[in-house]
Parts: sequence; structure tokens; C-alpha cells
Amino acid sequence: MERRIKQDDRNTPVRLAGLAVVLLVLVALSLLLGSTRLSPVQVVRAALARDWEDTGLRIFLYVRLPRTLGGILCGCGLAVAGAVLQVVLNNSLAGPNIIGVNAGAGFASLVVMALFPRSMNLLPAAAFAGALACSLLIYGVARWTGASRMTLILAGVAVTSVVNAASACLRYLFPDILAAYNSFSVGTLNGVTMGKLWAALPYLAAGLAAALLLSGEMNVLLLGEEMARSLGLKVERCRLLLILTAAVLAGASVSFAGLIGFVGLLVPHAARILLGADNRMVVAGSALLGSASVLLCDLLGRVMFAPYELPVGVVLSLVGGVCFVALLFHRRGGKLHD
Amino acid sequence: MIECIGLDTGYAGTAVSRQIDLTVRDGELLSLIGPNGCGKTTLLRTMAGLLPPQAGTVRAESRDLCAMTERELARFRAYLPQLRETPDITVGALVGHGRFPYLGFSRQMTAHDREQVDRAMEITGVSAWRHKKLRQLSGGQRQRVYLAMTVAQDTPVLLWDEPATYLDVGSRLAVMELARKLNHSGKTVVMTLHDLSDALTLSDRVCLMDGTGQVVMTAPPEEVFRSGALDRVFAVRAEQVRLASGGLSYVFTPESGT
Repeated sequence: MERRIKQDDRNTPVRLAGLAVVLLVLVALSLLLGSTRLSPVQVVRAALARDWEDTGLRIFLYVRLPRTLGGILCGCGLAVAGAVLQVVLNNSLAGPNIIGVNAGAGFASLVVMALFPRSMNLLPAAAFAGALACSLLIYGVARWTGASRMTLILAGVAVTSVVNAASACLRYLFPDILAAYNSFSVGTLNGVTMGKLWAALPYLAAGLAAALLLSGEMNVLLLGEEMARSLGLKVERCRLLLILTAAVLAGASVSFAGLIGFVGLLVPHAARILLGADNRMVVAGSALLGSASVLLCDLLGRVMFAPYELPVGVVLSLVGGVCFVALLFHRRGGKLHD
Repeated sequence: MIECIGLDTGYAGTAVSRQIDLTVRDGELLSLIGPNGCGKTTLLRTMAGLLPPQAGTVRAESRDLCAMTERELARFRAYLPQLRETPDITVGALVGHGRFPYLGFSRQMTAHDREQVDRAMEITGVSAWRHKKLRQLSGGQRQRVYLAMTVAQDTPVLLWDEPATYLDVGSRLAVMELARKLNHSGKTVVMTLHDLSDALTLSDRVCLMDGTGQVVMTAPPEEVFRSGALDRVFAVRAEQVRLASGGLSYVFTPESGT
């Protein structure tokens, strides 16, 4: 016990820095490893010589760079969204899918696939819009029926099941979209382009900034609604802002990476175990740890069965689940944040 | 000074208490007493500005509570609800949250904030646990820590909802002693209490409510005792006893008992 308390007090910044270093190493590996192994010297040399026809440089610029950046951004976005939602709903099982991000994005992308099969470039925008619309719908229903944390969760379950049923209808009526939908629903960084990333970047940046700015309020919110209000926090407004933040972060991530699960649910717990309960640290830690875990799993998916590739979503559930159980064992006796 | 004028308390559509006129004087220690479910907590929450009045007004220093911002309210009164979360944070961090109404945009504590936190922990006697987790403490210790948080809020008025319920006798008396100490240091303290003998021995005045939510009387303890209203409202027989130390205490026996 004594040992853990000291760590909470003093080692947190060191641990955060450690996570940053791990992330940097993974970024380097993700840029260089894959079906073709790139040599950094060669890539830099080609870039300096402005030899745009060089195969290594082309792979670096058009495949590895967007893929790595995509991993960083979606991992960070989903993990921070999860961290925020777990605090807002005071529920350790909360993740982006509880406010309908996955259901909304999935449905919107199905609509595009079914009705505008020739304009697949609409997909990211549609996924983002669908995620956001579904979150707002759930928040609206919850507010209308009482606006407590529990009504929000129940409204989430109800709305999500309706939207998912609508998605199932579309899949039955337009069976040829199943192949495209499959890769979207599993979540993959294969096929991420700089264009899709640029579109999502402003939302992710704004969401991350909002989460960091509101992390003090998140700490106060954890004291309970009554206590938070008596300390002068505008609880309703703060909760809406945080849910919006989470919806924007998760929606933007899903827009280019598909329905990657798991990160938003478990990374915030891992961040709390490593860094303590202070949400300023949890948000920053979730951002780093989320990026790192997506990059790691994408890398594993690329190299484990090369030349075949596993989508990052599959590896994440596999590796992440096992790692998390290990983490729980390591902290036996301690309690999950709940 | 807090004035309730023609106050109806309650929730949308359902009134709990009607037409309450109550003035809490500066620097007094006032206890709200009454049977379970009579609306003590509802009244306290309304006085704290956490629940809008159904009718009438609550005024703090001659200003309508409804016209004050959340922040102004949080600098005027500290409110401690009876039921609370137990977050996984240290005692120091929790008491630090008491400074939330004073923090700037960056949410960083200043030297003055830290001074106030230290002072609050010292007064309430929780300094030794500063680095402990809240969840490692006993119920009575946690209660002291939460009280320390309300003290760190540095407000002229403290509103505590049943601060002594569920505590063992030692912890309960420690909380009562703390209430008196803070009151002597100049704070106005209003709390709801279930233990009548605590309320009667400790308070400057008690506000007695009956089962229907009406205020029966607001007066010094001695006067309330002599009026016989306690016996009627609680269906008990109240007796005043002189202690060996010379102080007064109160005991309550069943109405029908011998």
C-alpha cells in the first residue's frame, strides 16, 4: 500500500515520460517494419535527393506515414474518449460505444455503401456524422427522460439497439456491401490516406485540448453530482461538454480507422492503474497509451503472419485482452475505478 | 445571514414544506431537527441553492440566492451532502477540491490556496493522513476529511447534512466538537441532526420540524424543551438531566413507557 501511494505522488511524471518514450520507439518501428523493411538511411537519402520515384521513399510517404499517423491519432482519440466517458458516467464499463459512436458510424457507413457505392470517399465524413448524430440523439433522449447518468446509459442501450437493427436491415437488403462493411466493422489502418487524416485532425486536436482543459472538472465530477454542484461546478453543462468531446474524438477516430473496439474501454483503466486517479494524468496517459497500443497491435498484425496481414482491430482485442488480465492480476487486491 | 421568506421547498410539482420563515443569524450554530422524511434535507438543500424554491425566496446577505452564480454561491456556503462517492484519491487531493471555487482558468492552486488547505486540515485534525488514500480510512475518518474539504472552501457559512449519522459515538462527538470549534472561530453552521441530545446541547438555536414538514418552532434548546413540542413531534418523553460535571443533557424514553 505504502509503496503504491508514493508512486502516485512522485513517479507519475516519470511514468508519463516513459510512456512517451515507448510511443516514440513504436512510431519508429511502425515506420520501418512491414512487408518491406525500410532502411532509414536510404529513405532520408532519397528524400534529400528529391528522388520521388524511389520505391522505399514512396512506401514511406504513401503507406507507412499515413498508417502510423492514423494509428497514433485513432488510438489517442478512442482512449481519451473512453477516459472521459468513464468519468462522466461514473461507470467503468463505459466506452465510446455506450454513447452510440460505433452504432451511428456503422449505420452511416452502411448507408453510403448501399446507396452511393461509387462515392466511397464520402465514408469518413458519413461515419463521423453518424457517430456524432447518434451520440446527440442518445444525450437528447436521456435529457428528456431525466438526464441522470443511468438514464444516459439506458438511452444508449435502447438507441443503439434500434440503430443496429436498422444496420442489420441494410445488410440484408444490400448483401453485396458485406465485404466492404466487414473491414470497416473490424477496424483497420490498411488504406488510411493523408487526406482522411487531414479531415479528422482538427476534430481530434480540438477534442484532446478540451479533454485536457476539462480534466480538473472531471476530478470534481468524480466527487458526485451533489458535491460537484456545491463546489460551484455547472454539472449539466460540464457533462454535455464532456460527452460532446468524447463523441467528437471517437467519431473522428472511427471515420478513418473503422470500428476499433477495446481501446476506448480498457486503455483508460490501464492508464489509471499506472498513473493514479488524477484525471489530468489519466487523460494524458490514455492519449499516449492508446496510441502506443494501436501502433503495437498494428505492427504485430503486419509482421506476425507476413505477407498476410491481420486487421489491427482483431489483434487489439486479442493482445489487449490478455495484457489487461495480466495487469489485473498484477494489481490483485486493488480495485478497478468504479 | 440567510433568510427564508414564505419558502415552499420541494421538487417539481410536489411540495415538501410550505411557508417556511426562518432566519439564520450570522455566527450562530443552528440545528434542523425533525422525524425521518420531514424535509430537513430538502430545506437544507434549498438554503444551499442546490434546489430551487417552489415558492418564496431564500436570501443570503440580502441577495436572492437564485440571482447568484454557482461560483458566488460556492464562495458563500459550503454544503456537505449525506451520501457521497468515495473516489480513489488521497486525502490531500480531496481537501484540495474545496478550493475549486477559487481556481483560475488553468485550475492551478496558488500559494494562498495551499495555505487554506493546510489550515483546514489542521483545524479538522486530518493533516496526518494527507498522503493516505480516502478508501484506506474508516467511516469516521472519511467524514472528518469531507468536513475538512468544506472548511477549505473558506466560506462564512457551513451547511452539513447529517454529518454524524452512521458514525460511532467517538467519531460522532468529534464531529460535534468540530462544529462547535468552527462556530467559535466565526462560522455560521447549519446542520441537520438525528441525535436530539446532540442538537440540544450543542446548538445556539434549533429549528424543529414536524412530520408534515412544517416548522413548529425555532428557538434556543431550553425553550424548545420546555415547550413540550419535542414530546409531541417525536412521540417520546424528553427529560433534562444534570450531569456530574454540571452540564445539561437530554434523554428520551418511549411515550408510553414507565
